[in-house]
Amino acid sequence: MASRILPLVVLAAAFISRALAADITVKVSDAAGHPLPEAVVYLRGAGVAAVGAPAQVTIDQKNKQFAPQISVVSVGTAVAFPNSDQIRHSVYSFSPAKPFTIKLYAGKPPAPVVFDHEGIVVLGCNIHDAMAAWVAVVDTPIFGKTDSGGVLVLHGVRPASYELAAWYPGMESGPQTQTMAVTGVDAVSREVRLPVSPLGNAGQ
Amino acid sequence: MKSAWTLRTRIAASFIALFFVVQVATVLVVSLASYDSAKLKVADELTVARRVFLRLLEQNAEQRGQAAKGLVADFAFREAVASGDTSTLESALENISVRIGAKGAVFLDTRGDSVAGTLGGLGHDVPTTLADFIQGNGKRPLQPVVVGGQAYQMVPAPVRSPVIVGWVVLFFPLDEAMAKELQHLTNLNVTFISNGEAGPRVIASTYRARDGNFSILSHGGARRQGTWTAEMDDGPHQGAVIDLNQQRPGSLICVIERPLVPALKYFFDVRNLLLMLGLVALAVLALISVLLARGITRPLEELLVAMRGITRGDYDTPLVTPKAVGGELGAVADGLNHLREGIRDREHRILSLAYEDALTGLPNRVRLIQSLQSAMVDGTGGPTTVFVFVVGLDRFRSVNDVLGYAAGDEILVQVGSRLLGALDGASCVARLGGDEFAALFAGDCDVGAVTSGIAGVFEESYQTRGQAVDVRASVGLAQFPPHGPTSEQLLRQADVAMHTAKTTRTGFAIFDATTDEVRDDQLTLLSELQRAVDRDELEMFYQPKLNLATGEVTGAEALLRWRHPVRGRVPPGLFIPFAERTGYIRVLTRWVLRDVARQQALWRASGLSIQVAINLSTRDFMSDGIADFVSEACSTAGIPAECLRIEVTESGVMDDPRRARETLAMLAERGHPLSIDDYGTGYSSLAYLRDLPVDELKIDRAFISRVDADRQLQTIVRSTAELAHGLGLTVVAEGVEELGELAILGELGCDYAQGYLVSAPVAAAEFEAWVRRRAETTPRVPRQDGDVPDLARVG
Ligand SMILES: [Cu+2]
Repeated sequence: MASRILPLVVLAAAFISRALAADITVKVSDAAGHPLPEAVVYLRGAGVAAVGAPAQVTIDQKNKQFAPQISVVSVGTAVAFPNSDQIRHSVYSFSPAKPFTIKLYAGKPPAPVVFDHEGIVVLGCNIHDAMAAWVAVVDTPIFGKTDSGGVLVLHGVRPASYELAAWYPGMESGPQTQTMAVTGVDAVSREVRLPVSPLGNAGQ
Repeated sequence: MKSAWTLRTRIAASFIALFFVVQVATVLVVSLASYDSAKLKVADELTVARRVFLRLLEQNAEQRGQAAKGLVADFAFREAVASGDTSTLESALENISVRIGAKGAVFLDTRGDSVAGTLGGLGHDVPTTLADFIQGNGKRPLQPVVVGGQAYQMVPAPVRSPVIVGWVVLFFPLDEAMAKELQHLTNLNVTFISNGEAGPRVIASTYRARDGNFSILSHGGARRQGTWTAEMDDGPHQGAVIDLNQQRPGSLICVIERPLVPALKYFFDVRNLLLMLGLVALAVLALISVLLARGITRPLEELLVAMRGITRGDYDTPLVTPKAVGGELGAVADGLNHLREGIRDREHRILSLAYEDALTGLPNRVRLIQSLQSAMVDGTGGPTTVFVFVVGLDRFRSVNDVLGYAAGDEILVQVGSRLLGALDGASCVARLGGDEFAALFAGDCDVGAVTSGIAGVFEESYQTRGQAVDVRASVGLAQFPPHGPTSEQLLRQADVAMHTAKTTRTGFAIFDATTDEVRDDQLTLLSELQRAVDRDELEMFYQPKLNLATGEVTGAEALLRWRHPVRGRVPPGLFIPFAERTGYIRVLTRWVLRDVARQQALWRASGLSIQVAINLSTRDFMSDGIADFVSEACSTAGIPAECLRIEVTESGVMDDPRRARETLAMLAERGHPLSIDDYGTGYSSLAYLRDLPVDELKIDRAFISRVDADRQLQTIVRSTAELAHGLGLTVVAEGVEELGELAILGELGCDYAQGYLVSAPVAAAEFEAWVRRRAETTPRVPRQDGDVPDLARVG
């Protein structure tokens, strides 16, 4: 009997240490139903807001392409645009959330760019039309990108009612959302299917 | 029709017609083929042009698209797009249009909604098309459209920031410049036509608006699917239609076409060349055909000419065998040559027969006439004279009678050869027939030498069958000029002279024109003789037979005389032999029989009892029914048969003794007394005569003439008379002309005498008068002076 009690104890201890929190697993697939990596997933809810200044985010430029191409940051995050190529690049954005221009440069730009408004910011290089990057600026601390399996696990989500949003480049009208209640006891798992094609394939 | 074409024409025409057909066929086939190929070529050109056109549009779109991409990638433009300020955007678009050379530009967002534009009034179709295009992410082709009556090629350019935030669509007009460019590239007329609700409309064309073809095209003419050929203002055109907007088929088309005639210029050139070559070839062939045909037909024509020559009698010109033509024609020519030579040889033989006397080998009468003719023709050119000697053998008949014809012939041959030898200066020595020969001298002639030469021929006697025969001849001469003028006349004149010489016993006489008016062309003689019977120009003369014992005249010989209305009395010797030859003698004989019988009836009625003798020619004598006719004549006139004596010559009887005997028997049966005339010339034996029913023998004058001076003749006459008496025949001496002769006849045993000494033949009335007068007086011997001497035999 004792042998049966021990695992229960361990489990209880764990539950207690992470009291009132749940892991949310979101599985994103593309229009074709294939797992979609790099998809932006975030949760919004009442009383949930981006807090503080998180660590600096970097969008590098390698081989005449932004890396990563898709980033998700919370409002107020400063993003550095180092240039790892031997050629110059000029980064710009006409997106209303954050229009800006960094004139042709090499190496490190003078200052990072702070994304202080919520929204999708499309980044381009003025002299390399093929270069494109997307920065999803979200007003929530709960966000992430799917892994190579198209899966994102959000840990320790407090019980509440949330709006689950998923976005991927090509979704001009904004993210796909759904409501989701988190009880804090049960793990939540959701699957999202987005009407897009992976960037690598789309090549737009 | 066919026969009117010569062989040459037919050959040439066949060749030319054949070649013409082939030529026409060739031209037709080649024309059709090249016409088709020319049309195909045009069609190919159109296909190529269509491809060129489409490729050009594509290229234009690509080039302009690239240019547009560059312009819309301008950062400032993208800023303007991002700014969302419509007026700024429109000015930017206008700027792009100007820079790229477009007519206008619009900006559409990624949903295809028009955000800004510089081309007003896009209507409904264009935004739909564009929205369709943009929603298809620019992957569908953008087709040309018509906006505001103008056709445009739309060139899209995406605006990236850096993702596509919208599209700039540039509008390039499909205008006249475009049409001209296409024309320059394809050599085709290019016309853009829209088909709206208002019907077809020419948007742009390489034609001027006033051009008839423009009008045709703008009225929907020549607007079809695919490739077409149609009659246009300036002739047939071939063209193709390119449907520019395949989403709304037919709404905007481009017509490319070209006139067929210039396109077919190559074809026409080829055809004209062919026709020209054909004509030249035809001309050359016609020439060759004619030459060839002539090559074939000329030898034929030559043969034909040669054959005509043969037909005309030219056998001496050999046929020239055409060298160029061997083979059949050569063989034909050879054959004709053989034929010609054969004919020539045969004709030579016939001619020699015709011109040569078979017995003596001398030229005959015909040949002599020919020689005469040629000699006289030669003579007309100058003073040449022609002499014709006719040599007649005297009493040659008696030679035949006594020695036989074979001997006579032998002598004739010898006479011929001797004459030929003696008259070596004669241009022709001929035998005229019978016992007559002739010699012809042209130019100078010693008449005396010739006559003595001829006389020399007869000096020596002729040897035949071991017997020596003396032959004498009389010679007549006629000379041209003055005699003639024809050769026939000349010869006859010489003959007349010869007879004159014979009659007058002078041995030689020259023709005297005054004595010979009566003899004329014998051809007219027959018709005149025929007329003479009808016109009663004939008359019977009577020559009495004197009974030597009593001195009475109880009989007479009736002799035919012709009193020609123009010529006067025609001697019997001129027409009797002729009548005998022509057979007309029968008519004469019948006339004579009737006339004599009639006269006899008259005399008998008047109490004059005279037995009249009639001569029957051998021909009459041998004809069927003569006995019946004689009887009929007597019964018609109502005289007894014994009043009419019939005389036949000894030679006539001997010609066909059996037949003669039959006829004589019939006549005797009917009661006619019969005489043998000219006895002594026919070589008949009295033994034979004994079997004949004749009762009188008339001794030929040849034995009576000069019988008083010739003992031999006396012996012959006496023995003949004795033998005749022995056979119961009375004997008549003919041709008594001398008193001496008459005196001795009775002594020689002759019963009757007949001749000039007694009386010349006289007309019936005169004869009657003479008989009556004589009966009243004592017998005497009258001499009738003034009578025309009878040149022919008497009795
Ligand atoms: Cu760059």
